[in-house]
Amino acid sequence: MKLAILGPLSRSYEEIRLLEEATKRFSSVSYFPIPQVVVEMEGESFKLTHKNKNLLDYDVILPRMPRSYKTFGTTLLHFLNKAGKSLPIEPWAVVASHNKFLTLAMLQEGGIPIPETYMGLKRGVVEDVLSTMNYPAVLKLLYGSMGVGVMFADSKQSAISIIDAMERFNEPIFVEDFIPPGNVDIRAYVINGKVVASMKRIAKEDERRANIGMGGEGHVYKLTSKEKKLALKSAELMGCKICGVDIMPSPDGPVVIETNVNAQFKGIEKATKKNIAGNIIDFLARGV
Amino acid sequence: MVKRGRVAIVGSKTLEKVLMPEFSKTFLSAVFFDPNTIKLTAGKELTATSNKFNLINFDYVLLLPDDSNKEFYYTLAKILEKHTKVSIPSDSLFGFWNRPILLSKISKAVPVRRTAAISQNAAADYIKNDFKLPVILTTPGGKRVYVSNEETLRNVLSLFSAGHLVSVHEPIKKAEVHVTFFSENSSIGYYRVGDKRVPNNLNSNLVEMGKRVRKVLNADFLSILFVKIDGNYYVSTIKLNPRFDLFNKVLGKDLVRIMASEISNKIVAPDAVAVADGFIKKLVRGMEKFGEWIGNEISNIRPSK
Repeated sequence: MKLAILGPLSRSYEEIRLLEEATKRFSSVSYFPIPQVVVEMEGESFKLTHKNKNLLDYDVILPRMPRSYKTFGTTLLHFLNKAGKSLPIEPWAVVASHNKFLTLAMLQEGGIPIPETYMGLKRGVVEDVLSTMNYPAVLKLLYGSMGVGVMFADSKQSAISIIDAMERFNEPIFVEDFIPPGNVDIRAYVINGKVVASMKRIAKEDERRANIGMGGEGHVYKLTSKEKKLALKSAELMGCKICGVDIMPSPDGPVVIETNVNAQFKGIEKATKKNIAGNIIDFLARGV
Repeated sequence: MVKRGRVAIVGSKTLEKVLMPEFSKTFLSAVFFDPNTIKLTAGKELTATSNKFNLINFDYVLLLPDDSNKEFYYTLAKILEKHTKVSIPSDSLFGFWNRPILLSKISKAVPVRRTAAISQNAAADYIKNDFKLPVILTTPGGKRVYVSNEETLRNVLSLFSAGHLVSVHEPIKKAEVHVTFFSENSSIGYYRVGDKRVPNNLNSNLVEMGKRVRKVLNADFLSILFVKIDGNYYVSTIKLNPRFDLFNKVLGKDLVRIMASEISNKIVAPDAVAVADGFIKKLVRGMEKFGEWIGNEISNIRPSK
């Protein structure tokens, strides 16, 4: 079988690991850097090419879609889907997963507990919320990732300053209730309806964000049965068979704060000693 | 006329005075929402509110997006469509800011010209070699740029970082241009020659194409710009926000009245169906329960010894 990995221009740890594992299981493996793929269409026919290779000639496609490629990446997945390729990620899941509000709205509709969240385009829309919420409040860039763009406001005045800056740069305003203690979360890595690994992430000192990219530490962690159900259901609702689900313990029980269609696994492989890349490739080799 | 239904319109402020007089006459409640005033909430409940109105509670929401805040409209549509009627489904709406996806969807219905979608890095050499200059680039923001030389091509592409979507197609030399509007009951248009706009009875080919495009996108209202090249019609642009003023001026057609009337039919008729559907479901459930009861009673009858 032939595998194509569709990923970023610069390969990170994850893409390198996936290629390593893939060559053990697939007869042919190619890497397609997303920005270098060209979509050509005329009438109903189309092709997706990179250096004379056509993505449509591959049996299995693994998309690795960072936020910066979400528009073009969604386009590629749309055409692959149209060509009848089975994908581990639905095309719409890339857009939905990279839109933090939409993710939470879809999870809520599926019965998943989420933090109280607000979104608007102008400060005036959320000002009433700022007057009544408990602080610190969490403000996020709608399309941030790996903890970048997550900001904390300890007072209404701080929140307003941050919001004014967001508005200045035409960023949608996203405000979320803070869930104490705030510097700990859980990452569950879901592959094809199964949690293959999970870890607790603890923020470094003087930091509230627990993301590994922000210096957080990962520790192996066994999910409770409730957390496991939440992780699996969240991945399913978001149309992702390969998904990182972030859960926060709260006084009222666990809540899901995010799903990741392009979940990193360097930290979780290190913390849990599990071969996530191998698990992903095994799943693809069995058929999506 | 009996006023019925509650309709919300979401669009830029300039449309309010165009639409509201007719919509206020037609509906029990018609409210205009500037997207900048809408607050979305998720958590205990999902709401889309502005001035104490919740859009989820309206019978119909007419979305008239422009090029700004496109993902907000998409987010709004995705939330609303599960709870109320929306003028266009979110997966079609997405195509309006992703030209290759839009063309891909409508290619089932109408001929589509040769187009490439690229992500900036690969672009310049590919365009030079495969498409040949001059070309029209449609930028991530939806603007069209005519590019006739390599230096301009590289300069334009360098404005966008990798991952952005740029569409490419060949420029049209001379073409007939038809500006049309389609809804369930309307197929109208005018013909554009330079700066002149001329009323035009749409030929059957254009009517059929417009109907097919509307059906494929499942949109209640569309304004489509067709170009005729070498005897064939192609879709050039599709908008959800028609030029109400120009259709009125050129054709004497009040699109606002057309839209209000058709929305009114959509709200009234389906309600009757929904009531009938609900009644039938209750009747069937009742019969099922009765059947279960009979079954239980029969199984409780023991033969006498």
